[in-house]
Amino acid sequence: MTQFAFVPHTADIAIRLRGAEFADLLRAGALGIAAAATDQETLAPRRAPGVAPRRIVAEGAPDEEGLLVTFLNELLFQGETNGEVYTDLEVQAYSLAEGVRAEAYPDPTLTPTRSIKAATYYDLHITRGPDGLEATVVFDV
Amino acid sequence: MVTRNDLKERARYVYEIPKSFREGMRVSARVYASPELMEQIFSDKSLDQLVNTAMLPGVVEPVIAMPDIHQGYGCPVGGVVATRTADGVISPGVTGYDINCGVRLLATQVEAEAIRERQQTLVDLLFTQIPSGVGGRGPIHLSEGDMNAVLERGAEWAVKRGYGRKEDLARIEEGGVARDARADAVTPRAKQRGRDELGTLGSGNHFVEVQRVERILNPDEAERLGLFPGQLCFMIHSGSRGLGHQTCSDYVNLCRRAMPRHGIRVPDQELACAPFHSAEGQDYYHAMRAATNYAFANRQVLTHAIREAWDQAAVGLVKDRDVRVVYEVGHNVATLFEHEGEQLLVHRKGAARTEAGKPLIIPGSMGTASYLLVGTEKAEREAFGTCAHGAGRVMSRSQAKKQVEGHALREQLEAQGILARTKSYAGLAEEAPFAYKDVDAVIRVVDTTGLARPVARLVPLAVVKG
Repeated sequence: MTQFAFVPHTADIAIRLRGAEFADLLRAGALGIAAAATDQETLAPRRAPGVAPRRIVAEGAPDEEGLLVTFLNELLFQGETNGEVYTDLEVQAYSLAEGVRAEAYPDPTLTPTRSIKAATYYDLHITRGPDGLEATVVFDV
Repeated sequence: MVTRNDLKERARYVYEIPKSFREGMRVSARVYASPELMEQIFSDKSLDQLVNTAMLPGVVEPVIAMPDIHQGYGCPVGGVVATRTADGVISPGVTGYDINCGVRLLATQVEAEAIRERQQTLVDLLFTQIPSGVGGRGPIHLSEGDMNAVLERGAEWAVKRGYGRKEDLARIEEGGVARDARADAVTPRAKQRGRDELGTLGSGNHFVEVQRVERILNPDEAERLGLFPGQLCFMIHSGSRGLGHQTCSDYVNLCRRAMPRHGIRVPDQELACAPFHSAEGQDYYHAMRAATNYAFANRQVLTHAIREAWDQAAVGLVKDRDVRVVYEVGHNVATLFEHEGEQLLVHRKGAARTEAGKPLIIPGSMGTASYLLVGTEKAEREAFGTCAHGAGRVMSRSQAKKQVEGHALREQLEAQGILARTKSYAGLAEEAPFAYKDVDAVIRVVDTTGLARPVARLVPLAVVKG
């Protein structure tokens, strides 16, 4: 289960992420960023045929919130410096100590129309419920 | 949630949230707003965010909300948080991601009427010659040496490279060179993001506007600053681009890791901070100052591009095509400030630094007026040398897009005589004038409370959006 939804915010962009496991939250975050960058309300995961994934390595963090934000900011960094929009993500490993290793799938048919400056920690709490994990991340735009 | 009942009116347009409001507040919070603006302020969590900042170690009485305040992340936009350098903290998140994002006002020597027949040519030249939007690459690829020079010498570096004139520097805060900047405190990743972005506008609410001085409100000051009725001006709104964003991200993470070691707890993790005199605090301070210089240089290179576009558009039509820098002010900065015998670090998140007698620029939303003002001693005394920075958003981006489509908005603006150019019509819709507060209401508050004195009102003729 991977889901994201935009939540109203006066100035910036808030995205609620849901997932069965932490890796699903990361994937939901990647899709949310791709949707926000290309001005789409929803975006289903997809992989452009014949396009090699980009390796994403994010450093560890003291807690899961830190791991989530650090990873999303790494994704933003890679997207901006390589001019790519990632429409799917495969998390290979993650831990607080070692960080996240993942492969992000760029879609060359998509052009970003919005610059996202950063994922922030504002009011960020990863909560666990019967359906899995949930977190709302505010992005500075 | 802060409610109306929690505010105590201290003077006209001045309200206080006492420190007894919430456990952990070390100082009270002050809000500069009129009743009409207060209604809008209560529509989001901006005052709760302000209350959180009143809990930071070493914070000085009071934390302040400017009349354009709105919800941000961690610290509200329009928030002012001063901390003692002796025993207080420095916070990257409170300063913000677009370090030294700011506005610069340029003035031609002619009335707008003189270029009316070529106004479209002018805006098209601005749009094609100024890189804007996502992924825009600038005219300069910075080598490692040049990057370090930009980070330590700011606008002065740009002028030395031919992007402007020496006299421009005198009309920029700090002469366009932030002291205490250290290039080696900026991470290689931040430098990588900034390598090709110098001289680019960016996206979001960044813009270049062509403006006309509609009304002089203080003739003596206007004359001193070289403004006259009908005058054609340009306004730039841009910042430190990806280099600033990455610098903030890097140091928010560093401070989060360092806080337990320094025994610091904060009510929101985006307020992560470190003692000013700690290794982490000093590294961030020097990196933030270096990013401040990048923004100074960026607006200097943009100024050069505007001068070139104006020269091409006006040649053969206007004899005197000189374009002077009127002034420039930064918004997302933390600067040292002497106050009642103590050295403070004043964090301004979406708030403008101001000095008595020096110019101050408050832009409105796209399609509405902007103001040139002068700073006051009262703002130095009561608001740590700070004033409002703009109109302030009141509506979410998604709501704005639901209310107007970008192409329709462009037509509406053109019907009002404002030419608009953008690479993102969705982005244009997000910046619709109705998504912002009334800038005139903001100006009334800063004038009534004595935070600044209006000098001139400018109206837009054309806008290039990122």
